[in-house]
Amino acid sequence: MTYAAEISRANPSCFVFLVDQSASMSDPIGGGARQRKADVVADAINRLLAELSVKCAKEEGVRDYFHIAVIGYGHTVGSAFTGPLAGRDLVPLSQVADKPARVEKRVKKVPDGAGGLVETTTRFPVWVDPVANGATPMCRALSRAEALVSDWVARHPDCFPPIVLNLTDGESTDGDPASAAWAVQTHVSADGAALLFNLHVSAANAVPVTFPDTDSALPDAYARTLFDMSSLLPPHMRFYAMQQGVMASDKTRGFVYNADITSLVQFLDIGTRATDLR
Amino acid sequence: MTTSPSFTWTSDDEPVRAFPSGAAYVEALQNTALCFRGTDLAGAEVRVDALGRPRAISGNFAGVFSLTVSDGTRYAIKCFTREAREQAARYRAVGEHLARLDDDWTVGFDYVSQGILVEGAWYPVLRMEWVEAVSLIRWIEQNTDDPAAVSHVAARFARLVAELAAAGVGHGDLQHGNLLIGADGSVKLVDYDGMYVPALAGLPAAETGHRNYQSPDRTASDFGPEIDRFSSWVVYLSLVALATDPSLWRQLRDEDAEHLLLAEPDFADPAASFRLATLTSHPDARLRGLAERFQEILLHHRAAPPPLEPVEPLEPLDTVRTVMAPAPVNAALPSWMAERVQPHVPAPPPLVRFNRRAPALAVLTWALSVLLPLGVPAAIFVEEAIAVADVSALLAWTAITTLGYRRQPERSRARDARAERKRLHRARLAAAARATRLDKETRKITQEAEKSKEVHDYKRRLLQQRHNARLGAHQQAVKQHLDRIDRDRQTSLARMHLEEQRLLAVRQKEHLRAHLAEFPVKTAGVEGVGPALTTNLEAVGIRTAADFVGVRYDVQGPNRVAIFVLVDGRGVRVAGIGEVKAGRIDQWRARLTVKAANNRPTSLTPAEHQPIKDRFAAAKGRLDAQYKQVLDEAATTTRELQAALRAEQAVLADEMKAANTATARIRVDHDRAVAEATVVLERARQAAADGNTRADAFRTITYRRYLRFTLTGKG
Repeated sequence: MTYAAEISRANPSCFVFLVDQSASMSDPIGGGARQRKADVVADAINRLLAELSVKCAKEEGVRDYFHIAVIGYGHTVGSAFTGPLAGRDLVPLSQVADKPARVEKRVKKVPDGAGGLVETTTRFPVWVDPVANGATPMCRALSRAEALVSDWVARHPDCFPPIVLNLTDGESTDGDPASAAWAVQTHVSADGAALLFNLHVSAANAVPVTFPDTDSALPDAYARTLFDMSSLLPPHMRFYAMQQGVMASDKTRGFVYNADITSLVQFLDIGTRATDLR
Repeated sequence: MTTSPSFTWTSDDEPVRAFPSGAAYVEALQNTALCFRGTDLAGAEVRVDALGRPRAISGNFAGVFSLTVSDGTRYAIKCFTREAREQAARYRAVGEHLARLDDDWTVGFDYVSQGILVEGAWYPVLRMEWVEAVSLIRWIEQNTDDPAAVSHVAARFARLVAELAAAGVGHGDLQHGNLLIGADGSVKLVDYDGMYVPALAGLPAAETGHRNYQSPDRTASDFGPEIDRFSSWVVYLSLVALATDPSLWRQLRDEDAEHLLLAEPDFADPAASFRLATLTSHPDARLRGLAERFQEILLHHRAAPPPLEPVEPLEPLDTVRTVMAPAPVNAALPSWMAERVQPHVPAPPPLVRFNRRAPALAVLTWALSVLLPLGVPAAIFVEEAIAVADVSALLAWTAITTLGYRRQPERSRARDARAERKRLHRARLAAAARATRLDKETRKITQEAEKSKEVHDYKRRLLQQRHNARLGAHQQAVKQHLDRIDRDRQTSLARMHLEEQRLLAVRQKEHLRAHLAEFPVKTAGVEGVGPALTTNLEAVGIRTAADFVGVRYDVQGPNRVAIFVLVDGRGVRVAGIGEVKAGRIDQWRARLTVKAANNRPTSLTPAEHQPIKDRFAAAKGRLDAQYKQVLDEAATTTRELQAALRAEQAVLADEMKAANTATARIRVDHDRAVAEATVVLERARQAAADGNTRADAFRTITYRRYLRFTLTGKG
């Protein structure tokens, strides 16, 4: 059975985030919101990193169940970390958790449980800042991810397969990304091939699509290409996705269109097993 | 403390609602006045991490946070990240059942359905008393070198298992994270999400436990007081093994591994399990016996294991407790442990000596040694037969002493020890040879993987290059074709322009002639050209300015003669009109011509233009259609080429994936073999050294020494 390897400190896995930082990311997202795509994507990465840190926190602190790389692509292709981790590629999760660039105090209004709204302040760690500059060298970014993944599985041949998550507005400027995407997925551990998931942020004012099993609801060719190059959700992730209310089938791909992808972290299985999959 | 609950659902589940993620709880807990609004936890102080955010202890299905309320009471608050069916009812049943027990392993809890407010919705929490204790793995790490303490915890654990069974309780997820060891060696059991109590009979299990502690055959339908049997064997065997041989902690598991000495792969395939084999072949008979029993369970009773069979009868709790008193360590050890507890460098065993001396043999030997030197002179001087008797006596003595030596119990023990030393030495050499061979293989595997990668990279580049070449050739051909059509279009356009220019020229000429024709010579009033000359001009056909196009002058002898050039190009002389007058008439025509030019047509009228356009439109349409067709076909071909490339790339990707999968499997098997070989070698070295030491103790057990012993009584 594949995608069943235990994720542990002795046998860690890795996450490679690819962040589109091209000029077009300064456009607003669709749906009348005034947020820029670059803000949405940076927010998504920061939330994912916070979520992973919490998921892997144990009594003595955050455990290195994963090593994390965040690669930005736009004007250049390289580490997108800011702050103490700037310039680094794969970083053990415990260091990521300890070393954000800063912790922002964000004020927001939340329901008070009695029908009203109340203002509250939360601490929001930031590792990646929004950037929008230059072209969209997605193929080069995928190649960089491929190199990291290939090296990782050579060193951890029995690990839970690495996960590459690409956050983009879709339009590659250095060629057809499909080939580079497949190349990423040719790198395997004994537990299965590396997984490539995509988050597509788009100004095309369309309905959000979360983990679809067909491209029929997708508005354009970019979305369809990204859907095509996304990996199928492995069985146990599908199982947890269904528990989170996602209608997942065996054709469901790791693709999200204009929607939240942090739920992905909840699809990960650390230590405990889901017996009914056997 | 740690919790790691897990839930499973059956297909008849009611629709699930998404629960907040761990990070969502961390966010909500930054304002405890809000998230616990209306409960006595409102405003409680939450333990934070280095970033000042609530510090979680996460399991797969919940996070636990430490909160301290105003009176100083500290709680562990468990927040669930996935919905569990009938959770409240299960906890109520568990709570009621545990309340009736008087066991010291329990931890008090309170299930609060409307426990925490997250983004406007209420979710349940489990409020537990905070336990000052560490999880089993951390405790073992701190106590590996204290076999007495480990042994005590093993005994305490066996007692806990018996207590659970007596109470009709099944915990469901016995594992290192849920077994907490207090500073006094007490054992607490936490995380009751999957607990069975009699009131829950008939329900499916809410979780199936940690993979490294559970039978591969366990399913959600296994839910009863016996659900902990398998995991209790796993924990107990590990603890007994560690108390017996602490080096196993390092040898049988990776640092940071999330299991004790055995893990899921050992349960799934016990026959191939190195770890299990190490335990079942351990020099310590007690451990070996326990491991063999568990191996038998794995092979034959994995789905329904028998209850734990502790190696020592369970002592009353109080007795076990006293073990932890800081008494002399060895004094309080269970008997099976005492012999194994040794300092790091064990003292060599005492030298073995002979201790069974046969007095008759001693006398005989003394007699012979005294008498034998006399044998030769006696044979020479007295009787030859004495020599024969002498030799016979010597032979007989040799036979008797040899037999005596062989009968010495020390001698057979020495032989065994030496044979064992030889065997262990050979085993060590074999282990070393295997490690060396595997080392060589490592290099080979790396090289082959690199080669395979190079080959595939090359194939990938080749594919792209071929595609680029095909695409380039295609684009070139298309360009040439389009250029040709473009040239045809240019030519056609030029031809149309030319025709238009020609027509325009004709129209301009007609305009000029019509204009000039409006000016008769007779009304021109050219100086010196009266009616007579006008008549002469008319005689040659020049009536208006339109009737001639110019004047040229021929030289005839001394005179220059003016010759009018008619419209048809003929030259005529006009009687009476000489050079001067002809010049004036021509100037008159030239002036009129200039005037006419000022308002001549500069372009064709649409009516004139249209027939020409129509004539060329068909050709242009044909060419435009051709152009578009070439472009369309080119786009189709490009798409086809792209699709062909993608298909080829997909095939290659599959090929690479297959090759990489094979490499990964080889690597995994190889890495495991290397790790195991390293442990085997380490253990073989130790065993060989021990064998040497043991054999060395018999170094005085030789025939020569035996003779000396027989003579002197000194070993």
